[in-house]
Formats: sequence, structure tokens, C-alpha cells
Amino acid sequence: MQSGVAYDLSRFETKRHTNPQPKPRLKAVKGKKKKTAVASRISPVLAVMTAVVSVLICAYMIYTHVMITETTAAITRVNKEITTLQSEQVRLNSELDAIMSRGNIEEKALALGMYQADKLQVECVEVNSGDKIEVLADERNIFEKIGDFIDNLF
Amino acid sequence: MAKQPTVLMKRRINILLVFVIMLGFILMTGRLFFLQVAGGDDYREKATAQQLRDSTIAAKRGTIYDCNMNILAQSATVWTAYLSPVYINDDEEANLIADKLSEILDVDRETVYKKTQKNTYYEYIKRKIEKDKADEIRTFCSENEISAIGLDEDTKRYYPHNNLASTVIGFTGTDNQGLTGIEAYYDSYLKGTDGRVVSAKNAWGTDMPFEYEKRIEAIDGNSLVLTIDQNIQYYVDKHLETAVKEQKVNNRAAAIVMDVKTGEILAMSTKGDFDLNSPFTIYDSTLAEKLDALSGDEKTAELAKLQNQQWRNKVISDPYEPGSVFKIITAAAALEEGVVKENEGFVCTGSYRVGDRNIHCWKTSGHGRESFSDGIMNSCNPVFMTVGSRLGGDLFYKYLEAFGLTEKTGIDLPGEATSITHSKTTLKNAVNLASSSMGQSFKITPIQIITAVSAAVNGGNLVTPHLVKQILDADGSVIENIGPQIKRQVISEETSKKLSLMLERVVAEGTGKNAYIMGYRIGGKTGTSEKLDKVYLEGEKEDYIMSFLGFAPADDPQVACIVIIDEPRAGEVYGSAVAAPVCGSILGDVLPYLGTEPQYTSEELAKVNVTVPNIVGKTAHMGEAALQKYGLHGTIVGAGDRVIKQVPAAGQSVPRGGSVIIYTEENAVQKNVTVPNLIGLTAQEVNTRLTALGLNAKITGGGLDQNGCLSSKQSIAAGEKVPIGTVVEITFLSKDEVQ
Repeated sequence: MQSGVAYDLSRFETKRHTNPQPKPRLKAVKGKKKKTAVASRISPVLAVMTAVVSVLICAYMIYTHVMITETTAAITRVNKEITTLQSEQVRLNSELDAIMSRGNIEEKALALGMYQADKLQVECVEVNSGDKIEVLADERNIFEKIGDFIDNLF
Repeated sequence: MAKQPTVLMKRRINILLVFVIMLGFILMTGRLFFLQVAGGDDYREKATAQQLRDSTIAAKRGTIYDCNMNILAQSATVWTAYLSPVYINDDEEANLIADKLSEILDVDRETVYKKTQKNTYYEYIKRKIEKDKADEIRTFCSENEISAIGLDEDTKRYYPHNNLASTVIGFTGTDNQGLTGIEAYYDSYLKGTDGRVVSAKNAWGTDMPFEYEKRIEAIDGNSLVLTIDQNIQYYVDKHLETAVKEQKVNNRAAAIVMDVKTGEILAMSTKGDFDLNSPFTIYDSTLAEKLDALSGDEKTAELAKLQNQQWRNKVISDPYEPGSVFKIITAAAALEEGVVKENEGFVCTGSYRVGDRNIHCWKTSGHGRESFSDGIMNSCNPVFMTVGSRLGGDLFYKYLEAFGLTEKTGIDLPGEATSITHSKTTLKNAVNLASSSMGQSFKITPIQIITAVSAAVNGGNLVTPHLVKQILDADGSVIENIGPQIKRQVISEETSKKLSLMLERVVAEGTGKNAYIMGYRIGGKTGTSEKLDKVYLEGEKEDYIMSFLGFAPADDPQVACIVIIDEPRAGEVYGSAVAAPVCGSILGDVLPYLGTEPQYTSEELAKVNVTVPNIVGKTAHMGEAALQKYGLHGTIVGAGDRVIKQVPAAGQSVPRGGSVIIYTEENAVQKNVTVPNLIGLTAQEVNTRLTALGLNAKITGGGLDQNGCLSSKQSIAAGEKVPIGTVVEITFLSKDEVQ
């Protein structure tokens, strides 16, 4: 007998699901997140160190700014002191010049019983003996002199 | 009812949140827009004003040096004390402040207290306070926690030598601007340029680092090196001050020392002057006393008048009638034009007829027959009136112009006056020409006449006198050299040389003998001029200006010196007796200082004093023998065998034949004698009187060789007790009544 085995006609039949599977009920559960691959690699020690270093860097930056401000103020203060002391030096030098003026010295000398030397008591002495030139003695021998003479000709 | 928020609720909350956030964001954006954009400029300005300070960096004023780099004027920082009365808490604090500030700053207590009662932020108390006082104020404020007193920086000008060259250097005002003299003339060089700095300030007002800080540095003022030599200036000031006291000068005196070849002013002095450190104080004590006796407006007016008088530089600002000193110019013009020869003969009868007038010579009996050279030596008026008439008005005026007497010299000082001379037209009048030939009836300044005479003796070159020779920058580098400026050749070298030698005779043999200095060849001319405007226009009695212009060495002039004494009241009325000795004293100090070696003639060497040798420690008789070698006599006092003391002391200059007292015992009585009055005696009488008392006479003065010359000054006053053997210096002056 011939059958329709070559053709699986059952495939064309409407399939009836007699036992439909229930849809899974999805439920959102709070809590643990799945750890990412990156986070799982960061250790607590490193995190703490990073935090400490960051804090240190910030603190250092603040510290240097404070130092710069203080140093600038100190420089200004010292510059003012320098100006003040220079002024004091000018004032004291002026006082010294006034004390050491010729008029003052003459007055004090006369009061001490000193007297000015007479112009006739001054004797002029020549100390300059004129310009001097030092010439090296000629230590060449006769042959060297002849040789130099011939060289000079050319 | 849902136990938990529903989706809808959550959605609504989200929407509400978003809305609120959006609203906030919009508001903030709007506010930011308002602050940054709409009101940005305004807020930026306010922030700048609050945080930034625009302060001036004061430029330091330049220093003034003399030619040897000695400081004559220098600036330094000082402070101004001020009060902020609004910060005074109570009356107790106000009283404390008034008490302490008046004590520290030497100001009136009541004035300070009144200021403490005001409701202001700034009340000035005192300016130009120095560091010690400023430190006292700071200490007082910190000890008493007072914030109402402040100190602002200021600048003060210091003049270490007080009144040295005061009318030349000048002084600065409250704002450090030059007011007179070099300080005023070169103010633009000295003051520099102020800088600016824009910086960020913190709450305490101190600087913060600010990356945008803008700084324009101040350019400090340039410094000046003057031609003035501090030492020469001292000599001139000293001798001029002495002359003012001795001659009881009524209208000040002036002197200049100038390098005739370069025009450099080595010294310039006017007495009575003032202290540069207190220019507004009347320096002359007599005038100050008279001022104190006045009050109110009269006092204020008189103070202003006296201040202007003491600041006035007589050398450049006061023209005067030069008198016979001008005869040098007449002689130079006449010799150059060939209208007179050196040995040409003249006859002086004592007067000269000009037009309808008889103009007299100072020697009313006449000089008789004399050459032109003699005429210069004798300062003979008829000779010069004759020479002047030969020149004629046109040529005379031409030389007035050529010698720079009709224009300013151009010296670098403010306030130079112009001369008042005859014009070419008025010189056609014979009387005007005659009087002008003698240096009368016109006025020139002292700086003009010394410049003109320098041209006459330096080879004929008219130079520009100047006071500054270098300008330095703040680091001391030279930025400008100011050298000699020759305006023109006025006369030939030959005429100049001839004239110099003729003028030497004035000092060696003629009317300028009182300017003579042993060992030096000095040339010069005396001058005595009557102040005609005072007599004829103001109806005052006769008054005179005495002057003398000298130069040296006469064979190759290097320096010239003019001395002017205005209205001496001591009795002498002739330039030869009043001004010539002063000029001689000045040149006597200046020439050795400049290194000009004295060349003594054999006659001078015979008169040279000897220096007392040191014989202390020698045996008495060895000491006596040592004295005899120098031509001195020793008188032994005491029975000891060694010399323990000598009078005069070793090194003193005494005349040959003088005596030295040799003390050989500690308790040997030193005999003292009273110095007698030696004024008005001949040299012989002086010597006799002093020798009789056991004193030594040292004779000085150019008038000594003249017959009948009498002593006019003694170094130790009559009545003073001195040990025997003391040297008393007596000065003899020639009393020629020359004009």
C-alpha cells in the first residue's frame, strides 16, 4: 500500500497547545548589583592611597599658595626696611659731613690751640720722574740677528 | 489603594522635579546673565576697586655732587604723621594722643587736640619726620593700641654742608620740586619719573601674589656733578663772611672764582645767605631779632621780604655799576683797535673836560705824566676818558656787545638779570661815553664782568660760564658731559697777553697792592663805584660798591676771582682797601690748593719767615744753637738743663730775628703780657712795641712796601693776655683813595 510518508502532513496541521507553559513572572529584586569587571579589579588599599595622595596634593597646593603670600609679604616688609635704613644712612652721613666740615674742623683746631701752617712753610717736592719705558735687552747672537735682518727684507 | 507609589505618581513627581529644577536653573542662568553680562562691567569695576591697589612708586630725586663727588644735596625717605580722628574712641585717648604727639614732634598741644575733635579720616600733624621720631610714634601706638595715628612715606632733601653755596644749589619745596638755584634749573633732570604698580591686596592691605600684577618701575632722577669745588667754595665763604663782619656790610657781599679758560665756576658765594636745611628761616640773627619784634601782617610782609633777600643770588641777579674794574674792557678794546699804545704818554691834571663838565680823577692833584700802562696801574680816569673818546661810541658799543655785556651770559641758573647799558645812540653823547669808559652810568652783573674779563685775559675767547659739568643716571653712569663753550673770539691773543701783563703791575706796584700774595703773579683791577641811582633817584646819601677782580698766574691766567662788597659801613670806602685784601686772601688759599707752586723772588725770600724748629728735649744750649741756625734768638727761663717747653711752639712761622722762649723747669713761671693796641702804627713802631714785651711780630699785607703804610689788623686783640714769645700777626693795607 502506498502512504504519504514522504509528506509529513502533520506539519500542516494546526497545532494545539494543550499544555501551554506559564509565562515566567518577572520580579524586580533590589540589592546586589552584579559586580562589574572593572570594579572587581579595584582594591580598597589603592582607593585609600589615591584618596590620600589627592588630599596631600591639594593640601600642598594650598600650602604653597600660603607660603607664596607670606613670602611676598615678607619681601615687601624687608624692602620697606631697606628703604628706611637707607634713608637713615643718608641722614647720618649728612650729619657726619656736617660735623666733618672744614669750618667745624678749623674751629675745633683753633680752640685746641692749633694753628694753620704758613704757606711759606710748604715746600713743593717733585715726585714724578717722568715717563719710563722698559726695553728688553737684545740677547740674540750674531747669526740670529743676520737671519732676522734677511727675514725683514722679505 | 496602592501601598506603594504608582507609576503615575512617580511620573508626576518626576515632572514636578524637572519643573522645579528647570525653574531654578532658569533663575540661576538669568541671575548669572545679569551678573556676568548685564551688570558685568559694573561688578568688575567694584571688584577691581576692592581687590586691587593702584599705588605710585615715588621716583628718588637725583643727588647733587661737587666736582670731586662730595655730596652737596641728597634725598632720603621720611614720614608724614597724620591723625584719623574718627578712630579715636574717647576723650581720654584724644588727650593721650595730643600729649604724646606734641612731646615727640614738638608741635603745639592745643592744635593737635583740636584736630582730634574733628570727624575726619585725615588730619595732617607734621611733615618730614625722621626715622627716630617715626619709630617713637609707632612704639607709642602699639603700646597703647592706638589706630588713629598713621605715617605716610615722604621724601626729604638733605644738604650736609648747611649754607655752603646756598644761593647756587637752591632748595626744594614741600612736594620735592626745585624752587631756586640748581634745584630749580635742573628740576626736570633731578626729579625723575614716578612709577605705578597695580597689585592685589588682601584684607589686611598687604600684597598678594597676583599673576596679572602690572608694574611700571619708577625712573629715578639723574644726578648732577657741579663744577663747584667744595674746598674752594669753603675758602670763598670763609673770607667773604669775615669781610662782611669786619666791614659791617649793609647790602650783602658776593664773590666768584672761575676757570678763565673753560668757564667752569669753581665757587660762587653771596653773604648773607641761608641754611639750605631751613630755607624759610631767617639766617641772619640780627635780622631775625628785628623780625621777632614785629607782629601781624607787618611781620608776614617783612618775613617774605627777608626770605626773598636771603635767597637772592647777588652774583647773577643784581646788576651794579662796575666802576674801575670795567677799565679792563676799555683797555682791551683800545689796544685791540690800536687807538692806544702801551707806552703812549698821557698827562693827568686831576680832571678831564667833557662837553660842559669837568670830570675829576680820584687823585684830584693829578698823576702828571704817565704812560697808558701807568694809567691802568694808577686807574687814572682822564687816561680812560681820553681812550674812550678815541674809540668813539660805535666801537665802544661794539666791544660792549662782543664781550657779552649787552646780553645774559647764559649761565645755568634761574633768575639771571640783564644789564642796563647805554645804547649805541646814547653813547654818541660825549659825557655818557666818558663815564662809561670808567665803568660808571651803566649796570652789569658780577657774572657778566668776570666772564668779560676772563675773555680779555685768556687769549681773547668769550666762554659761557656754567655750573654743571656732568649728568649721571641713577647707576652713576655719565649720560651727558658739559664741556667748555666758546662763544666767540673777542680780542687777539697778543692783545690779551699784553693786557694781562699790564694788569699784573696794578697788583705788583699799583692800586691793587693789597691783593698781592708772595710767590704768585697776580693781575687785577680795583673798583669803587658810587650808587648813583640811590643818590639821585632815591635821595639817599652817598653809598658805594667796592670791588676787586683778580686773576692768576698773570703770565698764563688760569683762575679769576671777583669780590663785591655792597655798602660797607666800617669807614673804608675804597675797593683797594676793602675788596682787594679779600680777593688776595681767597687767591692765597685757592692757588696752593690748585697745585700752583709759588715762585719766590730773591726779594721775597729775604722777607720769608722761618719755621721754629723743635728743640724740646735738647739741652738748653743746644736748643739755643739750633735756633740761631734759623736766625732766631733763644731766651732761657729756669735753671734746668733740658728744654721742656718752648714758645712759640715748633712749626710756627716767625720772622727772622724773632725770639723763642726756652723753658727748662716745670715750675718755671710762664710770664704773660698784655697785647697792646697796634692799629694805625708803622711797621717799625709795631716791631718796637712787640719786641719790648717779648712778643714776636709777623708782618703781612701788600701795603707794607708803601711809605707811610699803617697797620690795620692784628690777629690777637688788644688787651688779651698771652705768654711771652707769642707771635702776633699784623696786617698792613695800602690806603690808596683809588676808584
